Amino acid sequence: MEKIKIEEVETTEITNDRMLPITDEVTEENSIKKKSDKEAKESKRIKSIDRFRGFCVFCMLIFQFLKNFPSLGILSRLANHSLENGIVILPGMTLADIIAPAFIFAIGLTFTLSFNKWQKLYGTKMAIVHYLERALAIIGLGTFLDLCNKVLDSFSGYTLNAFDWTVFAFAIVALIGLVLRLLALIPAWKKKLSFPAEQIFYIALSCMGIMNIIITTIDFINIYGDYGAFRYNYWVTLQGIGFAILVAFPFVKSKPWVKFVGALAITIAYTVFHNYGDNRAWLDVIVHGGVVGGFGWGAMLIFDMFIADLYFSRKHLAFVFSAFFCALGVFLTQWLGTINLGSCSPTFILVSVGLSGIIFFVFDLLDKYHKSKFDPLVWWGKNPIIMFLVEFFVIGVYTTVMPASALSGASWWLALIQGIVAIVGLTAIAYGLSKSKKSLSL
Amino acid sequence: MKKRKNDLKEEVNVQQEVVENAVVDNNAQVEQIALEDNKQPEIVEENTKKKSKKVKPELSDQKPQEKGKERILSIDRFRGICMFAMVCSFIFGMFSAFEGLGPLINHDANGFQILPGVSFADIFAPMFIFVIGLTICRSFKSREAKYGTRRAYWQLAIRFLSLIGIGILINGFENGWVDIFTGGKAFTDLSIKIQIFAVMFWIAIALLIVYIIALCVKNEKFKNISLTMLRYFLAIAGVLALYFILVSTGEKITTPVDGERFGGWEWDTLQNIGLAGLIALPFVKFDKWGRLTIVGIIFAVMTVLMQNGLFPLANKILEGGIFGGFSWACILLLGSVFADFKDDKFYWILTSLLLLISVVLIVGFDFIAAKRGCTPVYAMFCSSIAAIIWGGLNFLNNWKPKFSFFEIWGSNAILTYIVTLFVSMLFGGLLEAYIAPLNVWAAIAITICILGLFTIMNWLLKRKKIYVKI
Repeated sequence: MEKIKIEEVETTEITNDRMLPITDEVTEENSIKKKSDKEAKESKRIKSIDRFRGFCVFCMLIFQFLKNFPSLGILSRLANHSLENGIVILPGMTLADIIAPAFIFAIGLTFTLSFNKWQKLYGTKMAIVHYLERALAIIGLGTFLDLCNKVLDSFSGYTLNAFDWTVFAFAIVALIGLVLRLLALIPAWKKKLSFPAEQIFYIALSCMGIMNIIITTIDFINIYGDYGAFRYNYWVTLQGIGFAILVAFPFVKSKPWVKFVGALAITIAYTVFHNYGDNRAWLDVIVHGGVVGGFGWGAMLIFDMFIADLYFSRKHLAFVFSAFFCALGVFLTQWLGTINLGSCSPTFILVSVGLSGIIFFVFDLLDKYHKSKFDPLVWWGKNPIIMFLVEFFVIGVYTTVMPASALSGASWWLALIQGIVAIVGLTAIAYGLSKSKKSLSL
Repeated sequence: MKKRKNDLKEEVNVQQEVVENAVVDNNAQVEQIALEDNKQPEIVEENTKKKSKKVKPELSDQKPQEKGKERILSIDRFRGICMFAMVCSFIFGMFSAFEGLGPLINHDANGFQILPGVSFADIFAPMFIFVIGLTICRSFKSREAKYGTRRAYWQLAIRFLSLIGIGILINGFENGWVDIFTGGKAFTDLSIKIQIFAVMFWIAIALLIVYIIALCVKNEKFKNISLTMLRYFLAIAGVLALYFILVSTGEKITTPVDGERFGGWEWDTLQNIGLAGLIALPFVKFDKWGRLTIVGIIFAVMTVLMQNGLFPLANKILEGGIFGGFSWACILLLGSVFADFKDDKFYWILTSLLLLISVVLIVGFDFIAAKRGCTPVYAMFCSSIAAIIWGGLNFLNNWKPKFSFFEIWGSNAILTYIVTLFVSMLFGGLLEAYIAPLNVWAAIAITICILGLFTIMNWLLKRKKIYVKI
C-alpha cells in the first residue's frame, strides 16, 4: 500500500508539478511499474483529479469568455456572480461562485501528495521553501495580471501610482526570468540557465506576492469604516488561491483529524470576525474578502486537504463528509447569513468544500466508465497556469480589440461560432502542451 | 418453567419468540426480534432458554452473533431516547413553571425552529417510527419462517390495525369520557364517531381484564380465546378508525364547508404509527434496494403533490392523516433500509445524501417542511437525523454499563407511551387546575418523581423479562 501511495504521488506530480526535472523519467518508470490491476486503478484515480482540475479551468476560462455574449442567454450567465443575473443555485450563491473553490479543492486533493514527493526528493527544508515560494508566486502572478490591466487602463486615463510602478519593476525582472526559462529549453543552455532562471522568476514573483499581501492589508485597514477610501485594488482569484495555500501550508503534513480541527478552529475564529458588526460588509468590498477573507479560503483548503486524506484512505467517507459539509453550510445559512463569495462567508466555506467534493466524486464515479483516450479535460487540467495566461492575453486581447457588434451586440449564431472556436482553439493548445509534455507551472 | 412451556400454543408463538429472545441476552439476533416488536399490549413472560435455542439456527444464518448483539443495544437505546424525550415533553407541558422550556417542546412556530417549518420537538416522533423500521423486516422474516408468508403478513396487518385501534379508543376515552367527566358534556353531545369509540373503549378494557384473568387462572384455551378477542376487537376498532378518516378525507376534498359530513377526523400518534406500518407492510419482503426505490417513488410523488396543493389539506390533521401516512411509511421503510445497511459503507452515504437533499430543498428552495402533514422533505430530514443518531449509537455497542438508562426506557415503549397518555390526561386534564400553577421547585420534584417511576417501571419489567406487546 505504501508503495502504491508513493506512485500515486509521482503520477500526480506529472500533472501537478511540472517544475520537477525528473518528471518524465518518473512517468516512464511508472508506466512500467503500473502493471498490476490495483496499481492501474490507483493511477486511474489520479486521472479523475486531473479531469476535475481540467473541468475547473475549462469552466473558469470558457464561461468567462461566453459572458461577453448576452445573446447566448443562459450560457452568458454561467460566469456571472451577481444574484440578479447569475444562475442562483443556493441562497446567495450562483453557479459561477463554485468554480474557484472547486479549483482550490483540486489543489487540496494533491497538495499533501505533492509536498511529500518534494520532501522525499529534496528534503524538508527545500520542500518548505519551494511551497512557500510557490504560494507567493501564485499571488505574484495574480498581481502581474492585475498590473497588466492597470497598464492597459493607463492608456485610457488611469494614472499609475507608486505601488503600480514598484510592481512594474518586479514584473520586468519576472519577465526576464521567464525569458531565461524559455531559453533554458534549448538543450545546450539548459544546464547553465535553468536554475538561475527559475530563481529569478520565482523570487520576483514571490516579492510581488509579498508586496500584494501588504498592500491589500493596507487596503482593508483603509476601507474599514469608510467605503469611499482609496484602494490599490490588487486582489483577485489567483491572489486568494495563493494566500489560501499559505494559510493551509502549516497543515500539509498533519494527520487528517489535525487538519479538520485546525480548519474548524480557523473557520470558527473567522466566523466570529465575519459576523461581528458590519464586518461582512467591509469584507465584501475587497474581492473574495482580501487578506482577511484569505483566512476563510485557507480554512477551505485545509478542509479540502482533510477530505483528500479521507479520499485516499476511505473514499466513501470523503464523500460523506463532503455531503455533510454542504448540508451543514446550507443549514447554517439560517443563523450565519447567506452564502457569500464576496466576503467568503462561513457558510460559503462549508458549502464550497462540500459542493466541490460532491462534484469531484461525480468525476470519480464516472472515471470507471471513461475508456477512451480522448480526454480533453485531462489536457486542460495538466496546464492550468499556461491556460490562464493564454486566456488572459489571447482572449483578453481579442475581447478588447473586437468591436461591440461582434461581442455584446453579436447575434446568437455569431456568438456561438466564436464560443466554439474559443473552445476548440484553447483545447487544441491544451492538447499540444499535454502531448509535448512541455509545460510551465509554479 | 416447564409448566409455562407446556402452556404455550401456536397462536402466541410469535410473542413467545419475542420474549424468549429477550430472555437469552447472549443471543443478540434473537433478542433483536424481541425489540422489534416492542409496541404491543399483551403481557408475555419469559420462556425457556431451550426454546430460544430453536430460533438460533435460522437467525444465525443471517448475521454473526456478535453483530446482532451490537445492534440490539443501539436499537434499544435509541428507542429509549425517543421515549424519554417524548415523556419529558408531555410532563414539561403540564407545568406553567416550565414555560421557558417551551421552545424545546412546542411543535408549532413557538418551538425552536431547526429548519423552516421544523421545530426541535418535531424530530422525535419520526425517530420512533424509524426505530420501528429498524426491526420490521427481521420481524417479518422470522414470522415468515415460522408460519409462512401469508400468515406473517396477516399477523403484522392485525398488529398495525390493533395499534390504530388502541389509538382511536384512547381518543374515544379522551374526547368522550374525559369531556363528559370534566367538561360537563352529555353523552348525546358527542359525535356519533366519538360515541362509538367511547363505548368500544370500555369493551376493550373489559376484554383486557378478561385476558388478565385468563393469564392468572392459567387456562390456555381461555387465554387464547380472550387474547384473540381482544386483538381482533382492537383491529376492528382500527378498521373503523381508518374508515372514518378515509371518509373524512374524501369529504374534505368533495364536500362544501357547510355540508353534512359523516367522516371522523380523530387521529393521533398511535394511529399514525399503525397506518405507516400498514402502508409499509406490502414492501417489507422487498430487498433493501427495492424498499429504497419504493421510498424514492413515494417521496417523489408526494413532493409533487404537496408542493402543488395537497399540503393545506394534509396540514389540517395531526401528522397529515392518510396523506401524511405515506411519508411516515417511508420513514419506517428507511429505518428498515438503514438496518440492512448497518455495517455497509452505504449507510453513511445514504445518510449524508438524505440530509443534503432535504436541507438544500427546505432552506435553499423553500420546499414545505412540516410534521403536521408530514411532507417528504421533512421525512427525509428526520430520517437522516435518526440515521446519524443510530449510527452514532452503534459505535457504543461495546459499552455495556450495568445500569443502561436508555436501554431500560426502550424496553417497553408501547406501555410507557400509553401510561404517559393517561398520566398526562390525569395531570394535564383532570388535575390541571392544581398542577399547572405549581412553582418551579414543586414542578421539578413532580417531574423527577414521574420520570423516576417510569424508570422503575421499565427497569422492573425488563428485569422480569416482561414485555407488553400486541
